[in-house]
Amino acid sequence: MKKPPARLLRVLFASVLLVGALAYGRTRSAPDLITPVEEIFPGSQRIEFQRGIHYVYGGAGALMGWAGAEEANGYGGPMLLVVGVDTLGQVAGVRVVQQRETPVFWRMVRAPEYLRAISGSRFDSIDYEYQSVVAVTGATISGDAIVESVRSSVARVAEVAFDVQLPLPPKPFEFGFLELTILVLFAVGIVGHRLRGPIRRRLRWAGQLVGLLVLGFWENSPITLAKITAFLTGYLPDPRTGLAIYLLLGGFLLTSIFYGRNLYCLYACPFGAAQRVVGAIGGFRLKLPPWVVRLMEGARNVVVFAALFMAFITLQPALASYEPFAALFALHGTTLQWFLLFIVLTGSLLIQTPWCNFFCPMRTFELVVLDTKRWWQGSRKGSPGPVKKASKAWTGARDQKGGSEQ
Amino acid sequence: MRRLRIADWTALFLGLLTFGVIVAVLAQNFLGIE
Repeated sequence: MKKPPARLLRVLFASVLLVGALAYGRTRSAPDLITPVEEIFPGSQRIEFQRGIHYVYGGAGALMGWAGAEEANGYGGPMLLVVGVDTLGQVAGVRVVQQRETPVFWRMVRAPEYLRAISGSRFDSIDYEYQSVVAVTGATISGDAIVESVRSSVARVAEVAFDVQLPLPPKPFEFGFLELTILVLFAVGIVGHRLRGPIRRRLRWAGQLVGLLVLGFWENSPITLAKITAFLTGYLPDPRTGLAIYLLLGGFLLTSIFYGRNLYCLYACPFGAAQRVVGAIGGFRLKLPPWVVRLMEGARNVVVFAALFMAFITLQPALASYEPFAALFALHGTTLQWFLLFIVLTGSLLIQTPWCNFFCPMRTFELVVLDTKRWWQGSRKGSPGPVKKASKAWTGARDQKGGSEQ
Repeated sequence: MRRLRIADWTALFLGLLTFGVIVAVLAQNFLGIE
């Protein structure tokens, strides 16, 4: 088998370090459940874990109540809340034990307000649909996860302590407008990729504008580094409710492998579309010297590696996201994220899709896939395929030849 | 290496500024700074 090219060796080296970081992250201790249970039941003397719930005893061994802690799927990873129920059947308190959401979105769902609102309710008559978590546009996954964790924790306590079966709402397979749009966009991409000239150009614009509206402003669900990191850390979202990300990543991977260029970036990505729209207004097309291009691409790969490394060590995939997508599509972001969005969109006036070319982590992943494929093919045929230099890859030269860019 | 034009300097400046902000965003995420 042929020796892999230098860039692939660097990827391999980076992967080894990342696996190490992930292993370290995983060996760190499990979340502490005792402290939050003690907070919910002040004066508790003894806590025993039996049949899936915590039994809480006070002075003289008197039973004070029970606590359940069931996990749910959040946006950035598993979310765990502990719910205490006293012997009268009232919710004594709820605490967040673990959440891995993006800080901005976590603030949006106003969890403390929700947890206060359900405290004091009887376990079988809790109003879960409290508006602070369920009606937050753009943070529905986080809100739903809070509700689901509380609901299943309460259900567990009800079953074990009160012998009451509380029905959990069924989770049907959700295939809706978003999922359909993703499939259509990849189909448009596959057709467009086979065509040349103005038709391809129009198809690409059409795809991207639909992507901008649906994947961007409507659903705020572009591929992000956080979602990829979640997959890499072994945290897989529930496909019944999170099918979209499977379709997006599957499409990204398959089209990269089969077409040599991922069609997500070309035909579906809402942020790429936003930059192209701004670029069309600006009309400038600065060409950068190759060494500047190489420098920026190298810097991007280092940034992606650092973000992954930190996310793996802390096991917090949501924190890896440095993209300003949420600022644009959900109108939520920190001052820095707004500033980043501002620079990138201003830069789009002068340089063609600067985020895609120089800063987007997807480009790094795409290059890894393409390099691996080329090496694999080369070693099977006996000759290593020419590894495209990073500096030649960035402008998407193939597309320009085919007339796909504008 | 050809001489850098003003356009190149602008692009380089924007690029470095963007990287600086990206690093700051990541630091903000992981250090939990507001």
